[in-house]
Amino acid sequence: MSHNENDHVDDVLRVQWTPDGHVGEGSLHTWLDDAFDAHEAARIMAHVVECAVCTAAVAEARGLMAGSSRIVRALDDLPAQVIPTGTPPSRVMPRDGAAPRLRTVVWWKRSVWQAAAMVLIAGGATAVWVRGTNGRVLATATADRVISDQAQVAGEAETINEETQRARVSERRVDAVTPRVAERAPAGTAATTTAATTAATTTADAAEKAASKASVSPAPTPTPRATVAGAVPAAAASVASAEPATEALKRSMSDALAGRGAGGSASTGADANAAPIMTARMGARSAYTAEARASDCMALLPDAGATNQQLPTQLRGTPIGTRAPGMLVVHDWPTRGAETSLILKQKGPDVLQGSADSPDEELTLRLQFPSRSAITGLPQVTITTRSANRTVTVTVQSAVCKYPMP
Amino acid sequence: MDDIDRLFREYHLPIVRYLWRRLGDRDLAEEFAQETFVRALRHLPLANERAWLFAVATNLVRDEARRTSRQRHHLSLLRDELTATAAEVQEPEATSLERMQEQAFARRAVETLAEKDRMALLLREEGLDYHEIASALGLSVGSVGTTLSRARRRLVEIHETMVRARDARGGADVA
Repeated sequence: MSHNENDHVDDVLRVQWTPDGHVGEGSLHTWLDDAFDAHEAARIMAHVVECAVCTAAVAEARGLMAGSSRIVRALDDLPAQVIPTGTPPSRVMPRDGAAPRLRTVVWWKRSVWQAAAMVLIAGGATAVWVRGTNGRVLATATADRVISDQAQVAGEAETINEETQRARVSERRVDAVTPRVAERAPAGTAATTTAATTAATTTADAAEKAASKASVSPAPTPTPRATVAGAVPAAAASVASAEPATEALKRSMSDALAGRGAGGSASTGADANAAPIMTARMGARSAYTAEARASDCMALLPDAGATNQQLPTQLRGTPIGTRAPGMLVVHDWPTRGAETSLILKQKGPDVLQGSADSPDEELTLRLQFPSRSAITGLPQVTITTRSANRTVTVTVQSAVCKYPMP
Repeated sequence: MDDIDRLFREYHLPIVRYLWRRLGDRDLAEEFAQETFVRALRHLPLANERAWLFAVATNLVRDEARRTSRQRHHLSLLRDELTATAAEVQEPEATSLERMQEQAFARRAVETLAEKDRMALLLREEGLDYHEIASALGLSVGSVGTTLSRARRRLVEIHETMVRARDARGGADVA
């Protein structure tokens, strides 16, 4: 498409026309981004309805918008275990500045001690059995081996604990870059408590480095709000008082990994024209969700070609999880404002129940997972939405789990 | 205090995401986001807070872009990461490799865009309107649509070229 678009010098957006009388590509994107006022938008609409060239250009522009949006979001889709996984609910910063709950022992740490306990139990049982059958010498040898194994496992546990401590200190170093922001987190007395507790566990090295970073910051150093024991260096106080904000940061990053905000204004504008998004949401809090990791379920993102104009016939859902009860919610289904009916088909175990309604505003599809084991096999889901005389379907590739707020 | 609290809660995530998408470095993105809010603290109250915050973040990125060695270092790390993590992930290998390759393609495609186009696209993906994008990038409002259309087209075309080249290589390997 040829263009003759000139940049405006004022703040008024006006439609740009090509020499051959069509809407310029930039103006089409502006229109699709809903940036024109009502008058200009009506002008484009009137033209596009009548012009086959511009209708095709609009379709192409929609595809480019959906495709580019998908490519940008692919930047967030990191492989598992490369980055810290999502924050378990027990570590999520509570609302209204309430005191953070105590951290639970994460599964991989707990499993080490469980392994140690298993070794002890197995060893003890073996020793008793051997004592009863083959005599004392063999039993002693077995017990020695058990003790050796126990020591080795305990040593591994200590190593992991040390690494964890170092990782936490490293996190605080980063978080200490802006103690002023962290101090202003509405933690109140909770922050004070956390600050004192955390400062006690922060190494002097971390405090010094944090102080160094804080002094580099051009911002004037504020008076710490947190009440910290006098023996703790001021920088350590800043690091410690940053703890609530650190939790928020981690939670934010977890959301960032998912590539979308948690209901904020972050992506509303872009999402309006992006291809539909499917989000897997876990059910109510449970022992499972407390230990859930991002790799257990993933956000369903549309394929590049899944636009209203390009209508593939399948929606593929990768397995959302193997143990999770919950709900799969489809937002921004591309048939808003249209009379819509929906048919849900599924290959594999017949465990999904689909329903859809609210055709006037926004079609939201909810798939209920009735039990944990029931969704073990979810190899493929086909959803077909019929609107007027056309069929709209979306191809889905992967999924991201969002943790429920406590 | 209330203002910075609200700003932080409302804009920290989109700014980190924006910076992360632009830089490809999580730690650096967090660091720049923190610096952005520190600067905001000094300038409160802000007239157009979202545009202001993203403009500051954009300027930080521009400053960083001058130190391109860090970017090169990151890309080499990313390449190493793609190789090193392939054997460690828990998910089925093919799926994980596919996702990693998709991300690598996306990163390379975004990196090929002109700086202005790339920034405009990433800001738009964060939901900024045309006036805010123009304000953050120092453009006229009327040029934002053209910039975005150019960026989107080029991004998709480059990405498709990469995918086709990969598919062609795969076909050749099979043959």
